[in-house]
Amino acid sequence: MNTENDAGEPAVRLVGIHKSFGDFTAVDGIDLDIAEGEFFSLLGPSGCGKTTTLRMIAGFEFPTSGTLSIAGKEVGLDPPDKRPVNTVFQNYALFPHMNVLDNVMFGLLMKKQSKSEATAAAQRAIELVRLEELAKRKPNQLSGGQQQRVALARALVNEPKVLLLDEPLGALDLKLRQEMQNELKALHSEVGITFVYVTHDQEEALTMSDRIGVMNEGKLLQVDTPNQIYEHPSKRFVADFIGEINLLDARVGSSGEVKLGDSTIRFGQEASVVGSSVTVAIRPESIDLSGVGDEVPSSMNQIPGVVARRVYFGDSHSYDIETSGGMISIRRDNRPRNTLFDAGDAVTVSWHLNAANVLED
Amino acid sequence: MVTLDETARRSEARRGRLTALPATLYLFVFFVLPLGIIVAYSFATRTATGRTELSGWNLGSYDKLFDDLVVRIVWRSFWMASVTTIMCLIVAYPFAYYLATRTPKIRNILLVLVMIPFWTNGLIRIFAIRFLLSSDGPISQASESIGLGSFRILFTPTAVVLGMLYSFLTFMILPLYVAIERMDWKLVEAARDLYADGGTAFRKVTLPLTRSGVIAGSILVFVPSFGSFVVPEILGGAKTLLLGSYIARQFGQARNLPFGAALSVVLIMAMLIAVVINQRTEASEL
Repeated sequence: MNTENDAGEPAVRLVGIHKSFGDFTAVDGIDLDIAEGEFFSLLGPSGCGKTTTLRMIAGFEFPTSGTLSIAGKEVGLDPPDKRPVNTVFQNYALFPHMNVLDNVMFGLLMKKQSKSEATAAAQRAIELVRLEELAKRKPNQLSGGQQQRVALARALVNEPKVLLLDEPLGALDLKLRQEMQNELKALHSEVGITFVYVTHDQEEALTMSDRIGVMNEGKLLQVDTPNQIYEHPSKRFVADFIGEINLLDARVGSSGEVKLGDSTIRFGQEASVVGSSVTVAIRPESIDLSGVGDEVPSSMNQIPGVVARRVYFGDSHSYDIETSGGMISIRRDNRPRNTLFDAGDAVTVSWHLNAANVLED
Repeated sequence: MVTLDETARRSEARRGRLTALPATLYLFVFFVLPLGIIVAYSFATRTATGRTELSGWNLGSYDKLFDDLVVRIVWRSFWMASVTTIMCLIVAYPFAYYLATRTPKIRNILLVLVMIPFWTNGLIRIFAIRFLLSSDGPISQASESIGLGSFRILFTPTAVVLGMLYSFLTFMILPLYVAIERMDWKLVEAARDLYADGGTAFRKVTLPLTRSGVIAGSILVFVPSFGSFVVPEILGGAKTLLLGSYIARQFGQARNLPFGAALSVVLIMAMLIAVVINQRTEASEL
């Protein structure tokens, strides 16, 4: 039976997973492998199906169709207590009638560990999240961040194959959230367990994940590293959902060249250009601005424009530039050597060939 | 000098007293005063002719509480109220659980169905039960026709418990429903996620978290059962003399007003203790 769990099996495998609630399709055909030890995030707006997907892995919901395997073993209709996964719930779901230690021990006792073994393991887990002092407290005597840590300890103490986290930082304030992000990331590398993390917060997903799956309307649109997701989104939704981006409508000429307004633009990699019009995506911070006549390297696309507006952001300036291809937003670091342009100035807008992407809808 | 905000506060307080005046008057005349009279009577003297003399205050009536007969009646009442409470709990909990887990629409329909008997005159309902249970009633006839013999249950303690179960079930269902309905189901999911099977999750999470409903419902059933008068009078026989009837008898046939008053005081004290326990547990849960 060991061969089933041999290395190489993904920690979680979803094949053709569909889930409907009545007429509503929550998850619409997902295929996904999550590698062992990976920090994988499911990112998307509320109602995109990410939580439903997580709940299916946990066993709280069952797929309408498709197969789901955990550590190489198909879980089918196994209830949550028969799956080697544990969940950190959105609002922690700590048992209010038990103290911290009893909360953390719960899973171990259910797995029929002896009370002394369970206590020892629970105490180690409580130490791992630095709550030794508070082991006898009830959940309602703890702050949000402390409750969060108890929830983590309560799940991790069982040494699950996969840890499922459902927007675990959603209820915390900004400062604490950033602190917990670092802590979670450190914890992940310390325990080496596969994390499946559900969030609608792109920054959280970008900073913590090994890979991100972006979801919308029940579909998994793109699965990639944070870097690829941000720099090379493959779909319009992904580009638009994550960060600021210029989405420009361009025409495709007779010989396949892409025309943005009056200018022809080039791409670094093979851009698949199909049809007569495409969407070109460029991040505002990837675009440079220079005066008319200034030298621009040949590895850059350049188009002329006129400054419509400049907004001061402290660490940067944001520009809106009127061009023949439409309004382009630019974000420029606030450095002394950067010339400032004012509304009405004629400028050259330029970007590296690799900075722009052609998007599918 | 009286400051402006103090004037405002005073007129606010005056308005408050005024709005509470009708209820205060009513409760004083029809509750506090009679209660005081009962307490006073419990220390009064009963003359040989059965008259009550409001003099020679003594604890004689309270001494009488320890008579064998009285202890037996109190014990029997306590026991039957306990059985009724437990039966109510067994019947009501699964139903309240079912109710709380339905969709809001079905839930409202079921709640109305629960309330309908509650809105019907209690006396009529008890007489209906008496008819059902009587030796020539439909249940007995049915059991005879299938050869199980006639059915003799009326005027037994069982009949009284059945009647009280029926009368007070709503008091158990509603608090249980409220407790189960407001419980966070995520906690049950968390228990299942932490390897508890359905039954264990219920024992370790659902039941402890709905304890307030269990306690509130139990008190709401136990208290009226303990002092119940109508149900045992109609459904019980001579062998099931309970506290409520016994007290009524002291004020009626026996004409021992001081003793009836002392019994009433004990009953009231028992109920007050139950209410205090209920409030304590509710407070400790917050």
